[in-house]
Amino acid sequence: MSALATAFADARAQKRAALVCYAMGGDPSIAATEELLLALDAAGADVLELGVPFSDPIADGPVLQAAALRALSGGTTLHALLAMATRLKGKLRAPLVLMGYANPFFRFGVEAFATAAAAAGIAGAIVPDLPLEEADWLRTPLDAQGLDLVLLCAPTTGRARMEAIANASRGFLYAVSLTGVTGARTELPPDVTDYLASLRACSPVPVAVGFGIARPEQAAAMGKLADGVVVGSALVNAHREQGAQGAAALCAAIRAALG
Amino acid sequence: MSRPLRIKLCGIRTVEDARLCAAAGADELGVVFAPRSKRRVSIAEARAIRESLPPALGVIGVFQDAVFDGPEGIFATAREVGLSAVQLHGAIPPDLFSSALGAGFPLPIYIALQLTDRASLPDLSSLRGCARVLLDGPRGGSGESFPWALAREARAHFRGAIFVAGGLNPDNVAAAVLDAQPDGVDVASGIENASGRKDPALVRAFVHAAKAAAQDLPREISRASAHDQESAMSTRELPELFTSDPGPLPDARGRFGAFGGRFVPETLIPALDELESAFREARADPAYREALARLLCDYAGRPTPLFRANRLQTALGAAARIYLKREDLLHTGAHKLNNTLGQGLLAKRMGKQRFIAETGAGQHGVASATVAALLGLDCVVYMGAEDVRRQAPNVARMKLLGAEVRPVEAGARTLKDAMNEALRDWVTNVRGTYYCIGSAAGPHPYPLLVRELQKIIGEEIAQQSLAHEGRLPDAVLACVGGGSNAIGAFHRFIAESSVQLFGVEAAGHGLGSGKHGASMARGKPGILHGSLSYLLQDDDGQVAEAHSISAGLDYPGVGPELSHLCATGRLQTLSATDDEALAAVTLLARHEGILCALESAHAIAALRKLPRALLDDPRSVVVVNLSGRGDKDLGTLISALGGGAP
Repeated sequence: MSALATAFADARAQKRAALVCYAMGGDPSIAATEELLLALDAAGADVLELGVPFSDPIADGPVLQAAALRALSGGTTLHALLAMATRLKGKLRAPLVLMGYANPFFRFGVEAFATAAAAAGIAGAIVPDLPLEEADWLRTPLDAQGLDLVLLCAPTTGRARMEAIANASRGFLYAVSLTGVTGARTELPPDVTDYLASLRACSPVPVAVGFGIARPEQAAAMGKLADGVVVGSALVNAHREQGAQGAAALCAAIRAALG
Repeated sequence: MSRPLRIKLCGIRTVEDARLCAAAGADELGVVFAPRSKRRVSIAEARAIRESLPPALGVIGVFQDAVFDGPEGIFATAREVGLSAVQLHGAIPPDLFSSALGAGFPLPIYIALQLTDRASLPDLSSLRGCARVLLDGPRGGSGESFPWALAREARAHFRGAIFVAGGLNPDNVAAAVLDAQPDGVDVASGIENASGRKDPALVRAFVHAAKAAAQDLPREISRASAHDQESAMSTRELPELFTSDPGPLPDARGRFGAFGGRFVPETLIPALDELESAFREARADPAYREALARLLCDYAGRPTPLFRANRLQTALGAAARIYLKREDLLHTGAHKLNNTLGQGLLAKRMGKQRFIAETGAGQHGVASATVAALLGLDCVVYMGAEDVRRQAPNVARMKLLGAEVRPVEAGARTLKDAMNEALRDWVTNVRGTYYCIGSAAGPHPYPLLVRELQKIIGEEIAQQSLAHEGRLPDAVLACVGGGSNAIGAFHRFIAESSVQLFGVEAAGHGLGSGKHGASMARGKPGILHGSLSYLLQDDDGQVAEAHSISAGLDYPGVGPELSHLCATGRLQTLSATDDEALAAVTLLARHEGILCALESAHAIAALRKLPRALLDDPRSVVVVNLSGRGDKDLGTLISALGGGAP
């Protein structure tokens, strides 16, 4: 069983949804991210998503756009994030998965990336601009290294396509909760219940829901509908305003709300 | 009241007769290859006739029963002689037009029909791809005529030109012209003397009588059938759209070789699928094609002229014959409207009321706002804040047209950032929104869609070059930002190996400066805005900021089809700096009286950089796609050139 699958199975054994926490790599420095990841891990995150900053993040709202810009102006690169992951090897309980846009991986070289990521102890990757039809290109080398390529589903995805994506996804399936970009929302769309139920019915891997989830009570509600809950922009905001301990406090509150 | 009437004098057998007919005012001459004709000429004789005449005077080859020896022999003869069109009599192969396309045969094909009475008039609507029908008497070449009024009935069913032949002579041609109201007349025996030679007096009398009668024709072509009255509104011939196959590229995954694809969030994939199938259906639907053709013609002003730029050629010291494809004369001032009209009609078909677009120079934004106003759609245009500043007139135009302009403050605040924001809008509002991409870039099917809508530029260049020069051009140049005007101008010629294609990129402060927009010359393959293409980027895969004085070229990527053509060597790249483009604006303005866009000025500037063999050869025909007009750049030009006088 992969590290991601194990993390979801452990949460399931505790009869709760897994908590996936996002941090933008290098925002505002590599050292700060290192401290943040350790704090989130200690506060109860089940999976850590490490954002790889990109110059043109078309699926991100203002909070993550600004975070990427801060990271890039600090000189953050994919190489530097892999070096950081290597340093953190053995220090984190939660598996570390990279989340970033396709081009930096493409530029790195997908074979070289898969090898370097495996050596750095990375569990997998989530690439929001890599839909099912383009996924083989990265999944094949990651598969060869035993790493998971997590695919995404959206509310616009039709039934047959949901099944194809779920079957091709590794580790877990990332359910985008709404049509839109990342960022906190006060309300999630009413049809999310049916949507997540359909996904779970057809998916052989756990389903984690993300986009728009910011507060503990939202996470608790979503946690009843999915196998995992992803919190991103709210943590990035908390980190920016209150530092690593502020983000860890939010993480712990959400984790408590999940049960 | 008058209307142009073309006069074709046919059955020319000698150089002497050819010169006589040309001097008398014929618009075109015919040479007969039909084996049993008494006017038959050999290929050598036909070539001597062709070479004795000015290039602008068309020579048309007349062939009999193409169904027996297949069209290939005819195509070969046409090339050997230098014919400007072929006219086919007798049985026609059913797949004639598709096999001509398949054989890369670029000349117009005319069909001759023998008529006795109304019942003998065939269904002309089946003659798609045919540029002209020649309505002839019951026995071709016999001097017998048919009821001329049938020609007016034929109009209701046929878009191409209608010529009348059969028994015409100096005495009856006026009556035939008034009765048939044709686009042209064709005569052979009626201008010959007893020994079968062209008679100078008869030739002159025929031309005079025909032209005099044309003075009395109504300006509008009258159409016989009532249901076609709407068509009569059109004063020009409507373009035939999507007649050529889209070709092998892109493949089913939207790939042009290694380039293209769909690198977008999953949320958009179903919308892209929906768009792709809607376009395929629309493309095959005569109603969509007709609506688009009518707008391109009556609203936008197609075809745009191909203009021989003599003074520019002299100023450049070039021997090559330089032509400008005047897309700057299209409504809204650039080629962009070709695309937005097609996509606007598509949005209506798909029932999407909200119409969003990104824009750099503002030309695509204006073209989108224009179409939205025309079709009653709600338009939002994303534009980088820097571009809002430097293209202020276009911002004002968009607002006047009723569009909402949203300035984008991210990144370098130019086209790339505007496109990011438009994509985010689409991800959010995907269900009711149509995203109208302005370049042949973005995720599949946009590169296909935009190219199909822009390729009319190159198709017109081919036809016009044949009309002006009797052949295709030797080189076509276009500036390249994302590349929609370039792929539009180039696509017709990709399979024509004799036509060199030059894409001109923005060299900004110089290719070595790091401040430029030359993604093909200096970029590496990468993924931006949904497709894999050449991209300016750093070693970490972060997209670099482009620079160009022209907002339309200030983009770090380029469309996937151009990337493929560049990678495979079919497309050659040139570049021009900011300063060279500024100088080219002035050069063209002072020598041809045309103030072109800074984008297009890059292509003008690159003329000097063409290979010498092309530039120094007086037989070379070089076409520059003048993609837009320069009014929008006045602010930039005034500050750069100090009011215009360097």
